[in-house]
This record gives sequence, structure tokens and C-alpha cells, in this order.
Amino acid sequence: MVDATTAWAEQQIKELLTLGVDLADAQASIAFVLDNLPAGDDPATWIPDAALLDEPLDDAAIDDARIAYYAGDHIPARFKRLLDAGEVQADG
Amino acid sequence: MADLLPGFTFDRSSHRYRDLSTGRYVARERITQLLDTQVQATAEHLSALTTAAHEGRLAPAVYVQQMRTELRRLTLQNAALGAGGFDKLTQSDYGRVGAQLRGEYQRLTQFAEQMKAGDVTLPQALNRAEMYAGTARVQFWATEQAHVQPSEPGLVVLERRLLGIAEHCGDCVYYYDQGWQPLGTLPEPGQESACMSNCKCRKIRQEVPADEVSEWIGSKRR
Repeated sequence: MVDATTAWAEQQIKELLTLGVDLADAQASIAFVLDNLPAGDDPATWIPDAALLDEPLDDAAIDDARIAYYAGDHIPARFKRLLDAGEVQADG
Repeated sequence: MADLLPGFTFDRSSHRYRDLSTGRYVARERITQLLDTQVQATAEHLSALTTAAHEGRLAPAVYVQQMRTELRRLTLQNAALGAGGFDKLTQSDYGRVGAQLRGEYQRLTQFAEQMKAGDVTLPQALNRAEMYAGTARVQFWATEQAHVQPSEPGLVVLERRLLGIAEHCGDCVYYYDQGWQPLGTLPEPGQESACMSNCKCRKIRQEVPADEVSEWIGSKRR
């Protein structure tokens, strides 16, 4: 039998997928909630403190932003690699 | 065999991208179009998430977490676009982006509390969602400004605000009327204006010889 939290998590993942969020992101969002939910609180109503959202902008954050840029349907194929531009110092 | 995606280089001295498939610089209008396309696409996604949260289909914490992810990505992408690519971002850029995101996370949790309490109508909520995306747009301009320097001694970088396609607030019209000004004089689009992050204005730059600066200041010449 599926417990209430699992059923809630599955319903929320379905909703995120419907909204165009990919599965990995949807699962990560639910994991964040369940990992940080204070004991006794309801995942359906709890709101995290802003301090809990703060995070370092490290290599993982950059890689995540880079991959999201590649994946963006609205970015023309020609410009997918724009933000990986190499460097030149002068007009050659 | 030709590379299907031959990529780009970035010229720090002119602060421009070069398309290796054509050998040409990418027009600045194309870069700002990409910025606006990116911001608009994210704004639409944030609006869908916000509608679901407002209607109670998404739990507040799930909404907040997903919004955080989207805003972090968009803000970093916009900063990278302004810097010349992800690997041009400096510790100073990370500090500025991080400070902006901390403020956004604070507002986001307060906003979720307001929606949960039923204190926000859906149109108000959607306006707020659009403003989150607009705030991320500011990082393009702020990062670009932080990276631009004169390409040679004896040159001065000037900047000018241009009005976008929108209903303009009095502040933006005032900034437009200032014409050319030394780089860093005019606020970034989205800052210090009544329209706030709904701002659709742009900035352009121009390098001029130091002894000609006085002829440019305040003018709208090209």
C-alpha cells in the first residue's frame, strides 16, 4: 500500500511533468522538500525558510545552467554553443 | 567533415562574440534578442508554475524549489551572456549574482506565504512571476558593464539607454534623454526606475577618443 507521502510525491511529480519540468528536475524538487521537511510538518503546506534556499554558486551550479541552456527549446541551434565561447585577445 | 556547431570566440577588447562558422562578429542586436528570448521563455514557464501554485495544484515548497532552480539558471545564463561565456565569469560576478539571488529567494518565500494565505490574486501573481524573470535580465547588463573596458589607452567607453517596445515609465524616458554618458553613469535597465524589472530598455556602447568625449556627452548621435 502506498503511504500518503509517496502518493503526494507522485502527484506532485506528475504535476511538474505536466508543466514542462523534466523528470530529473521534478524528482530533485520533491527530494528537496522531503529532505528538508521538519518532522511533523505537512509537505503539502510547508514553506521553506529563505535561508534554506541559499546555496553556493559553484561548478555544479554553472554546469546545471550550461546544460539548461543547451536544452532550451527557444535557443536557436546556431547559438547553443555561444556561452562556451573561447577567448581571443584581439581582432585577428 | 564540417563541424555542425563550430562555435564562437569572444574578443575581450571589443567585447564581442565572433561566429566561427562565418568569421563575423555576432551583431549586438542578436545578443540582446537572445537575452530577451531567453527571459521571455523563462517568464512563460514561471507563469505556468505560478498558476499551478496559485490554484493549489503545486505545493508551496515544490513551487519555491522549482522557481529557485529556474531563476538560478536564468540569472547565471544572463550573466554569462554579458561576460562573454560561462568561463569568463569572475568571483566578483558570482558575488553579485549570488547577492541578487539571495534577495529573490527571500521575496519568493514571502510570495509563497502570501499565495498560501490567499492574499494575492492570480493576475498579481502572474505579474510577480514576470518580474522575477525581468530581475534576472538585469544581470546581463550588470555583468557586461563590469567587464567592458577601453580597448586602447586614450579611448573612453560611453553608454546610452534606448527605449524598448513597451509603455515607458518617466524614469526610463529621463535616462534615454541623457543621451551618451560615461560607462557606469546610467542605471542598468530594470534598476532605479518605476517600471522596475518590467523594463524593456536596452543599453548600447561606443568607444570615443578622450578628447572628443565632450562632443558626445548628452548627444544622441550615432
